[in-house]
Amino acid sequence: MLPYLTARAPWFTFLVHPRDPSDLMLAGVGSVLREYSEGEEDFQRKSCSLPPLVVGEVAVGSNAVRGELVVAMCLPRDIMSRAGQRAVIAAAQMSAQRGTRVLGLGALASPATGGGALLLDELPPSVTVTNGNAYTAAVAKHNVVEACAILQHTPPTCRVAVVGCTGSVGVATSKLLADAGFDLLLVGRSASRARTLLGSLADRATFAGDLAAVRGAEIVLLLTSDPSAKLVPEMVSAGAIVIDVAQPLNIAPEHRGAFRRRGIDVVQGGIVEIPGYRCSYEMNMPARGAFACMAETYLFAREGIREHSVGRPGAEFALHLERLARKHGVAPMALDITRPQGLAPQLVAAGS
Amino acid sequence: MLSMEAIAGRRKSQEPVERVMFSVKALYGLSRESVRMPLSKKQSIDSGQICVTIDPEASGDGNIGVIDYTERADCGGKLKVRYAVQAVFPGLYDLVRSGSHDPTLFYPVRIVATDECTLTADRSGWHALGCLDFLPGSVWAGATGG
Repeated sequence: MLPYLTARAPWFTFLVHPRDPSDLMLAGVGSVLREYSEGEEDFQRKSCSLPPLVVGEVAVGSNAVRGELVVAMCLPRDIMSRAGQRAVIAAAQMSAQRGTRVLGLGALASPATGGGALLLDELPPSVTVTNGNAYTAAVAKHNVVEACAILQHTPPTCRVAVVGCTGSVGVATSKLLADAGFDLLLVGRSASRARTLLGSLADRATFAGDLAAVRGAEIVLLLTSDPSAKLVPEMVSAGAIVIDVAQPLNIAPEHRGAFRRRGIDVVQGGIVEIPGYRCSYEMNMPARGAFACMAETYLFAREGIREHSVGRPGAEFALHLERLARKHGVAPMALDITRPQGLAPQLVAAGS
Repeated sequence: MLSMEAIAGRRKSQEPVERVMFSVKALYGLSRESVRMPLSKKQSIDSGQICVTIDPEASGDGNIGVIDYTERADCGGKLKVRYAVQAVFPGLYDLVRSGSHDPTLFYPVRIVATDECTLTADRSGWHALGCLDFLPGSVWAGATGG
């Protein structure tokens, strides 16, 4: 059954958007539009004029909880504009018309709508909205703990740079990492804003507004793909591990080689395994993998959570979702790092 | 005075029925002509014949119509009907094959059709003029046609 043909109301809907122009080809009609377009710009314009699409179905084992994948046809460069906001709202309203109970926001659909808060006035009260950031924060913290173990460090001596610390994932993640005892470098657009939002962590963290400050960190956690926060190899110390949780990715896969040549591992974080998870739409994910924010949407539906989770979630709620995830067998996917056992990389100053 | 006989008499009396409501339980249709569908300012493609069948996923409550047999000079009556169908465009085969495009263009789409029809004078058939509304979810969503 094609997902948009069914009249069965989904338990949950995960709302995404094309992460880059190559994703436009995944809309099925992409190759036809390209053939009948006058150049790349015309193709992108036509593709982004398409209505919201139901592109896939999500099933979890034999569980009755069934989800749909809905795409708002808007590229990252436009999604923060009014037009992008309208595209996300239209996709959310279509999901509501299809009878969804829980709406989860993927990639930039959350920041485009104020962490999901702007959607509340646009949707009927029967729809619960989550931006997926709470469980993403919990998984990001788990990724850092795992990377720390790979580096054969312990939290007090492991310096972790959190890039995007003031975002809706960043605040909760920073608090979780501080509670775990890590030595934190919190990087936001402005150090003063980071200090205002996360001042309670001042005894365990330093604050920075400049990306260059990540030099010296053993682990760099990327929670934003904002153009002003694009990481380049020269900024990072050799031997470090970079965990990219941002969507779209902060570091495109084709740029990972440049980091690798400097002895820096770049891995995608924020990915989980859900037992029996099947998605009929190819999202170019690791095998068996799902985004943590998608998993949070599933957990909301599975547990019947009726309170919205919009804006910046608290660390307590992230831990609550981590417990729910464990209850349903949902677990963070191991980081894809292979380093020789017993060989702790030496951290050397970048540029040396 | 109301009596049992009077009530029985009312039941037996036959009022002339000029309007009949009906529901659509099954439907299969094939368009005679192709439709030109624009792809760009200069280019368009032919839909080929459009093939429709009743939408098994739609609520049956929506498939309903009414025939008005009121005598008219020009026809045998009027008919209005609304029904949900799934449609495919087999005429796109050449387009998809020639460009090695994604076969999802062949996939059916959900449509709600609203027709206003004129019964033939002998009431053996009707001529329909209607419009199609493509339901949300597919690339065709929002499109309308008649």
